[in-house]
Amino acid sequence: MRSVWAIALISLRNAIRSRVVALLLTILVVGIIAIPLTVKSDGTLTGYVQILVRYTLGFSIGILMMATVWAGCAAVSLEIQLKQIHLLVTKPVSAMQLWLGKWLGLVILNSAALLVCAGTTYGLLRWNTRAQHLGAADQQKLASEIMVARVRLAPLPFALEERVRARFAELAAHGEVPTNMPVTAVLAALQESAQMEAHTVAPRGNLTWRFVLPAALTHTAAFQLRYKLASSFLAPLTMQGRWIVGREQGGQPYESTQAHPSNGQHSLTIPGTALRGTGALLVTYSNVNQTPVTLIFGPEKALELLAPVGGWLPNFARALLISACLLALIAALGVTAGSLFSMPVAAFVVFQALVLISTAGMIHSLAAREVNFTSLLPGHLTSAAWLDQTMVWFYRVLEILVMPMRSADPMALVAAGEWVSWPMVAWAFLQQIVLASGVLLLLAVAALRRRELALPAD
Amino acid sequence: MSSDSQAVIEAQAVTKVFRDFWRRPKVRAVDGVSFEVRRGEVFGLLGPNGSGKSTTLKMILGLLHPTHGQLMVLGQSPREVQTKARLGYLPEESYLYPYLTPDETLDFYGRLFGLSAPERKQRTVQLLEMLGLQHARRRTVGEFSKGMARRIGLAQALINDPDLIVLDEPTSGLDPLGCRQVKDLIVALARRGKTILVSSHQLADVEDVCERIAILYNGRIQAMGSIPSLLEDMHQCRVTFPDLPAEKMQRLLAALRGVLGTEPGVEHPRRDLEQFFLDVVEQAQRGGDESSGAAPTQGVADYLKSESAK
Repeated sequence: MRSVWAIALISLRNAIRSRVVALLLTILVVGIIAIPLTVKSDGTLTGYVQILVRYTLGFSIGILMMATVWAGCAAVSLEIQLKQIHLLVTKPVSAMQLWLGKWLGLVILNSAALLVCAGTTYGLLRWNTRAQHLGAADQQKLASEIMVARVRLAPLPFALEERVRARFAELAAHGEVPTNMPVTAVLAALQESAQMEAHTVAPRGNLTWRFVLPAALTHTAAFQLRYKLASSFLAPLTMQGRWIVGREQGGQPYESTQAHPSNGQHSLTIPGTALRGTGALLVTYSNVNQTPVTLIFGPEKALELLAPVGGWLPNFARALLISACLLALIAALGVTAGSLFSMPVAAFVVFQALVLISTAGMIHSLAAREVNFTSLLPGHLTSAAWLDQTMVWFYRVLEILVMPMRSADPMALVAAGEWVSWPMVAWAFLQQIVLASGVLLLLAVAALRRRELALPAD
Repeated sequence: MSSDSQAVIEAQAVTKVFRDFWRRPKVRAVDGVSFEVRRGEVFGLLGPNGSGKSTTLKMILGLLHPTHGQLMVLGQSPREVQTKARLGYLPEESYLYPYLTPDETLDFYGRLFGLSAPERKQRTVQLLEMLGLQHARRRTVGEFSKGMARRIGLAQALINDPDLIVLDEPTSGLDPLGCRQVKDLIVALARRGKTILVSSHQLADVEDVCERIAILYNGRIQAMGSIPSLLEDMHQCRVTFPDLPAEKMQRLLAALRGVLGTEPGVEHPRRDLEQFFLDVVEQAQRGGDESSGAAPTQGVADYLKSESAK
């Protein structure tokens, strides 16, 4: 471990003395201060926090990622090129210690740079949202919706299997199951139809959702109910609806009759006292509108609860830890590429890997066979189902490879006042540092043990 | 291992073939080389550029892997980490980190050998004194002249008190004073039981310090043995005596002519230029002239004075 620390510290010292660190920190801090001044927000407090925390800090982390790719690739490949590695590997230093030392140096450097960025961002946020600067309504919004950590809860899905099966049996009994479609496609269509039916509230009807609440939730702070709906009328209407929110057992349910537009996304603030009692939280909507109008919720994200579970600053700190894990993985990618290839090749490989990772969402769709590859080919090849299968497997493997990097943007969550939990941090650590970086370490060690470090071409 | 347990380096039919991108053989840099270096010996590898001596050295250090043959260093494969704990290496160029001071450089390499902090500090002070660099310990290595950087390179090669010291062109870039100091150091270290492998173009330097040499050409050993056995001309003799008056000299030459039947050669012995230069510098130093480069050295570092026990 002493060798690992020695290599890490010497890498840091070299970076600091060569003024690379000073230059990088200057770019980052200037970026954080300058970007919010040049980007126009929507004028709301939420918009400003989004620009500062999500985009500006996100941009700085992006720059840090690029710098990490460069520094990671250079860490070993430049030492090989400059032959400084001759002195290092003729000392009792194993390939693993060499890799770990270089990686640890980058992790320390990134963590320090991330702290500087985070500190600047937090300072700017506090300064620009100071009490004298905001009206009472904005102060209230800042405290209850923005500078908080709220958990986003979805209701339990409706049990529709029985309904779908019964409907399918009915169709089969009447000989109405389409014969030109696979059974799975028929069942999927029936499922979709059942979903729509389950989320529909007829005039004078009502609909109840069940939420399982996490233990961390307290009943002292107010929480928000967000819902998305559409009506059977194309023209916009103002609807009357009654919400009843309360626990299954005990407690005092909260009731409120609301006038709301018949389309779009809306929110309702509910006092924390509604959480008192035990069992699941039941949320009921009654369609009490005078004019008979049918409402359809969602069904995608029809309803969600946003309940405060902690402070903003610890949430921000956890988001930074997740970002640090991602930077550590990029450092691992760079150091490994630098152990395998020369500097330009290594940088090219890592940038290609990052491009691939940025298309992870598309890869996920392709792996799920949402795209029919053969349909893209000339007519005589459209029957090549094997090609479809091969491509799906190819994308499945690719999806596994890019999976460690496919985490939700923690800064987007923090900017929206959403909870970044410790399990998310632990998952990022496990996936990006223990597993992915561990695999990269083993790959680099195997390569360095085999590689001749004094070849004339080096 | 060899039957001779004192062998520190043992090469048997070692061959190194460099290949191109497609793994096709390109150059046979070393071709079936066999030799051994014994404990406490100063062994010289000589040869013109491209003769294979650097490649041989790099295989001994584990930086290159032999294509064929067997190579053992300190009884183990040169690629073993344990082997490297007992090895010191001075490369041909000083591949040091330019932003570090000599103190930091030696501390860093000392850490890699697992030396404790007080030990690193003590050895750093002694090495810098020995190499005349105490006054430059706060400057970064990047600001050093080539000769000063070579001295730091030498210091890092000795920080772990190694049993085997591999020196690639140890006097390259040094002034005659530095050359003399390094050669004296090599001799002193060998006397204390260290094994030293030297690769050099400076034939006079090799002659001064090495007991045995191998001359490589085209990847093969062309000559190998002790310096006297290779250099002594057994067909001629040199007799040295004080200068004589002309009349006595004439009588002596006449007598020799009678015995030899040929004209004997007569010349005054010359001091070599290196010794003359060192005398001049020493006189200047006694006169109090100061230099910003390497200072006069202080012999051998204390921790290197103990006899090598391994």
